[in-house]
Amino acid sequence: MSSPLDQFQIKPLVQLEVAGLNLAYTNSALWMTLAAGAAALFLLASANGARLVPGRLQSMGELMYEFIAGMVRENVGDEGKKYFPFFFTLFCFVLFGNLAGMIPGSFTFTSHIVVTFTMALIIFLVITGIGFARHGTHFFHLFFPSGAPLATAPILIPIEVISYMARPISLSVRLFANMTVGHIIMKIFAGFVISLGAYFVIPGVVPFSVLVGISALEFFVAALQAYIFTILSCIYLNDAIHLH
Amino acid sequence: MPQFDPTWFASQIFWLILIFAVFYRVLSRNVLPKLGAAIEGREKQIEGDLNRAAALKGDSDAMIAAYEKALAESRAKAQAVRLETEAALAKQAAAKSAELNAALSVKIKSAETTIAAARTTALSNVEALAAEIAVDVARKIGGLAVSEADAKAAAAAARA
Repeated sequence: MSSPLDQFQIKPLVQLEVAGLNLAYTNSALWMTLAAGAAALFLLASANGARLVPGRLQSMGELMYEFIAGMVRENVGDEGKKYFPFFFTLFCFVLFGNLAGMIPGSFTFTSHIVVTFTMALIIFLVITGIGFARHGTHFFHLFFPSGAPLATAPILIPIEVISYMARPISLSVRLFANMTVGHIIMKIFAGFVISLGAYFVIPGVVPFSVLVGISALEFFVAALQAYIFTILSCIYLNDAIHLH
Repeated sequence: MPQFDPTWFASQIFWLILIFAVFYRVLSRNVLPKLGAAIEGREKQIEGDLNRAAALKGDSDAMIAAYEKALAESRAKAQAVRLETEAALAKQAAAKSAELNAALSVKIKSAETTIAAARTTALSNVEALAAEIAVDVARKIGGLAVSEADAKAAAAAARA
């Protein structure tokens, strides 16, 4: 029986080496392409020939648009408007990546810490850059809330700095761990269905019904984690723009 | 876990950035402006329609007010005309009845004079007749000769 971790195994499809770096096109890159491509096709279809009275496809696109636009407006405010396309792309990318991972036999690129950490780190660096660009050294006020007694500074500042630095780690680990654990559990229960069902049909039904429930839960988690990843990025941007 | 195998780190990062960048470009150039324009256009259309509806409602309210005003005015006018006509008719009737009364009183007066004259005449005739009869009665029954003047005086005294 194959290990439940086999599904995370990266397999090169096209070898590519640039300046000593292994940049092979892998199954991970393939599913990234498929997820982003499907999302792009869906959204292009919904946006093309947009009419006053929307059809089904256009309604779905507009629903996503208004969902993310509302999220950015509520969490960042009007200054967040110009970053809206980025957050929309981020949400669609993670959402379709998570959902593509629910296709049996597919690859879940969001279950790889390298992928989630790269996204989180870029978001973290860009947001920190925006904070410094807007506030200069005043940005350091983020680490010491105004109004707190000065005596608390030796404790508060390290805590705030550490919690700030931990943001990209918590952001990326949350998504990676959720996707990885969910897929491992699904694989284990799928293994139970086979091994128990091999003895007799009835015992196999039990893990199968659990698997059905877990699959439904995983669809929910796929959407929820995409939402959390995006909304936390919004909140971080809000901190950088408005400080505290 | 395969996630921690550094063999594919560079490849994963490279393809992630590349695919994400292309995806971002497609969405921000070809999808979001159209969806945003569609949503905004709809909001504008609805807002315009609502404004137009409000303006039309204002117009119709003004029309109703004007209509009601005209109605009240014409009602008042009709009332005035009615009052005026009534007054004129009353005046006319009063004049006619006064005229009629005057004519009647003239007639009554003349009739009264005629009646009074007739009465006087009749009374004097009765007096003469009574005197005559008294003279005749006195001569035929009493054999007395009574002068007509005495009889007349006696009759006048009896009547008085």
